[in-house]
Amino acid sequence: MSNNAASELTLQAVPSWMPAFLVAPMIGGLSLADLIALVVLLLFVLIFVMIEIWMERKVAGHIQLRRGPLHVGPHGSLQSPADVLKLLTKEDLTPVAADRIVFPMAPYLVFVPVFLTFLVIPWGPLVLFGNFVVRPFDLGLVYMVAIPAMQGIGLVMAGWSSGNKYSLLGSARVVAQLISYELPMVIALLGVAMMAESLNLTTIVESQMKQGWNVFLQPIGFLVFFLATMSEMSRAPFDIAVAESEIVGGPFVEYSGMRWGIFYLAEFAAVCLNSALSTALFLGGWELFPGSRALGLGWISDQFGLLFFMGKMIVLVLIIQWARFVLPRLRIDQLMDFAWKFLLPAAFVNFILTAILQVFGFVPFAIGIGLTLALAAVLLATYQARRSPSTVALMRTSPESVPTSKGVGLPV
Amino acid sequence: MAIASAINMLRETAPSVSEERNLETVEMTINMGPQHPSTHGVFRMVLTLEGERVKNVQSHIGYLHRGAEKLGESGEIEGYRKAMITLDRTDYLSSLLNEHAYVMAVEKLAGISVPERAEYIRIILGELTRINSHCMFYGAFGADSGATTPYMYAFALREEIQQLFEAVGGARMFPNYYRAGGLREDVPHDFVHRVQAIIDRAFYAFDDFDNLITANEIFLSRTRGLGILDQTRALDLGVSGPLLRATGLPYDVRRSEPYSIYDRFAFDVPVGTTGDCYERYLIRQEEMRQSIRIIEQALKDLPGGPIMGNAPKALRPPKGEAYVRIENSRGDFGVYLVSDGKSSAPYRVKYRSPCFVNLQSLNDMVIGTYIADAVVALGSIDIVLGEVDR
Amino acid sequence: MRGVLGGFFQTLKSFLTKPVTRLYPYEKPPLEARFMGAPSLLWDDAVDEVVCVACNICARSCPDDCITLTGDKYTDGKTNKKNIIKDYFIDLGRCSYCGICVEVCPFDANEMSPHFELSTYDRMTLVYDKDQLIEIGRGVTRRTGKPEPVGPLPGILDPSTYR
Ligand code: SF4
Ligand code: SF4
Repeated sequence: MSNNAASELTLQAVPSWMPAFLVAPMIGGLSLADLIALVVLLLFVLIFVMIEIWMERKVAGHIQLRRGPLHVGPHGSLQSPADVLKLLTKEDLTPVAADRIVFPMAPYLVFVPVFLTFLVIPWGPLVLFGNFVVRPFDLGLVYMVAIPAMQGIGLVMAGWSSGNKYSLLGSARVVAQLISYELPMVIALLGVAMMAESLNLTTIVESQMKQGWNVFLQPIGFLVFFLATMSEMSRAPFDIAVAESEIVGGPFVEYSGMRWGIFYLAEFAAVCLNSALSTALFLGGWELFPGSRALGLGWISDQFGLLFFMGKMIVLVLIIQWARFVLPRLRIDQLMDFAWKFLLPAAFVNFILTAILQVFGFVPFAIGIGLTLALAAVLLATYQARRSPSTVALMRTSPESVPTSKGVGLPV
Repeated sequence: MAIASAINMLRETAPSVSEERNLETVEMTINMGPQHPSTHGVFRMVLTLEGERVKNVQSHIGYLHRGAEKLGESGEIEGYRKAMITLDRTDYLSSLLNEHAYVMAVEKLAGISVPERAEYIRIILGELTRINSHCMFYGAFGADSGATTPYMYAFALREEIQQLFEAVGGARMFPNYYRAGGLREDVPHDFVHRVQAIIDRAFYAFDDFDNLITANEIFLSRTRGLGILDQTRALDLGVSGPLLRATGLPYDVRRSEPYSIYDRFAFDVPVGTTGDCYERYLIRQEEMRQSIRIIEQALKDLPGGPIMGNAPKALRPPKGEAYVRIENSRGDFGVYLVSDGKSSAPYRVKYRSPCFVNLQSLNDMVIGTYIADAVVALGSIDIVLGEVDR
Repeated sequence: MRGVLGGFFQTLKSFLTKPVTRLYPYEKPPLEARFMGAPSLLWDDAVDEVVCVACNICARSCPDDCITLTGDKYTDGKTNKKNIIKDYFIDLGRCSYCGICVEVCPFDANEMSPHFELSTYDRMTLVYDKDQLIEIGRGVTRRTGKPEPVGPLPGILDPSTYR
């Protein structure tokens, strides 16, 4: 269904004007171009994370009637580089109770998986450069699920090796959270794979251009994936792993200086990563708007796709940041309930609906969507009805009905 | 030969498969505070955890003990005035309400009458203080449950109220404005307009507060049904204020034993039904609105006239004692003064602080819940450590 | 769901409203006329000397014991004072800005000034001596105990006058 679509678009990973010595494989199959791409990607991640942190602080500021950073650079835009400098000059403390070997290693084990996942993201084409993607694996989807999951190991190492009970609690929470959210996420991705009949992320984007964005074809899948990734990267309201009002930062409690900075970097890089993945998998990648190809406007996406990809990604990042400053934090049992009782069934429903769409066509699929919505409405209504509404209404009292202190046996 | 014995040794030391494994969870003791972002100051809880569940909680207080009562007795001259400075700084969020209780106690002790205008102004400023304090609760409670924005919303309103305090008493948090017999000086000319402006603005602010988290499902699920304190237990513990009213008992000193001129105003006492954290939150939200009602009525009737009664210049009350209680923003606040009739400082000063008493209900609320709930339950008590430790 | 969306809507609203922050070090906050900053000593311009007569009442009434003063015999004869201060120290690090010293002064010799910017690296610099206290009290008039001026309100102090 989709393979001929991909060949029609002729999007190449390696532009033809590149000299041969750049693309010739060297050690371990890596070419010079690969290395350059890696460096560029790393720089991009670092710079984007700085922009993201600045953005988050600005968003937070204005939501909270403040102004956010203002002093360093115009509108405080150089605040993040200044913070990095500050972190670099700070002392790297290793607590006495910490494990000497594991403690310094943990930050890298958190950041590296996140960075590695960036390799498979199809960033989209930009005028001359062809399609930006470092490694267009055929197993991209599997890779992007498997690699970030390694992050959990790093966090557990950080939490355990700090020799602090708060961080131990935090890392225990991380494990529970990662395991329970991995499942709905993967099942939501099955729908995507079924639609594109491929696990290659580039092919998935191209198939979306052909048959419509996944966010419209499987909105439930998008919701599940988005929420599950939000939880995977411990963003509010799922940030129980760091929960600064309870366990004061979780696994990172004992870290300082640049080691802590790397954790921070990994956290924000994960936000960027997951927004990019959502964009590629559900929001049509670098396509300007759904159906633009049919209108003959496909060339815009083919020329400036990278910009549209970035735009969508930034919008998603903003939504994730916005949520952080609106919602209170879930409790751990509620978090688990949410994963197992809501996201997982929803992911299965999505899976079944996608199967119906692929096998029986659009009409049964539409009926299925309708039935699902009706079921959801009924469930929501019963849930609302079960919640006792009485507590909200407060009893008003008249002066006569008020007990005096003697009447209720209070100390006079 | 050597190898065989080594293998044998290994066999003996290695745990056999059939050996009983003890897989019980180990209890963990975790020290929350005195330096912890959500213990509202320097409160320390020693939590015994089983996984995430709280098995036991032990409270430790006293990190902020400054001897406010003893300091209140220590003045060589102007002792009755000095005691109020330290009282202001115990509960730094309801300073003017506590000042009210203190001056009422001194007035009772020395038999001083207070002019009408001073009483009205005390009511207005006191209710503004209550709003101020409940705003702080709103922010802190939001932060405890994980939302950061409520703090900033609350502080935007607090800022305006404190600006008014600065205009009236010269200081934003500890105006030291009431005097036995009246007030230090009259309010500024534009007082009525400024208070009116604040309460006009406050109504919008309260709506914003509500829109932000009151109906939020996550907030509801975090607070509803949590930390339930039933009425008999609450009375046994001597709990007062919003905590007690959430259990369904409309006990408010302003109503039950009207002091000052509270009997002239119409206002409702909000009460809950179940006594959980969410109702405490709702009650405080409602009390802010009721305070506005009181302020509106007081502003309408604000009389002219003197602001100082028949207080002597050097205060030296006759021998005796006085106990006065008021409803401050946390509950039933009492001031007990003893005069020996000779010195110009009280012989004994004792504050009955509602926070200290309310804090005792912590164990009832927290045991059996999660760590995250412990923080929220503590937040719902709305303690001020300065007052607990004094 | 409605509550969560309400929260999003509310924050969007506040995102679009003007921030309430004042850019403090650049933009001075409006101080009220009654603002109680550090206590200061008043200067009698008529006779060009300090008003204080070193009676020690303020020092004894201070709840924090942060005033220390020594007096000297007054010999200039410009006023009918018996004594005049030689040294007068207030430890502003201990002062609680309560205004009691001003209230009790029988000679109207001091007043709370609008001086409040006290951040320093060394707390000994917070012990203000006589000259500093006179300096921060320049332009301040005795207000406590006097009736409120009628007519136009004193209003908000001009930030450029802070010291
Ligand atoms: S303001 Fe109060 S604390 Fe400060 S010097 Fe005067 S009396 Fe002492
Ligand atoms: S400032 Fe006033 S009270 Fe203090 S010593 Fe001088 S005259 Fe006396």
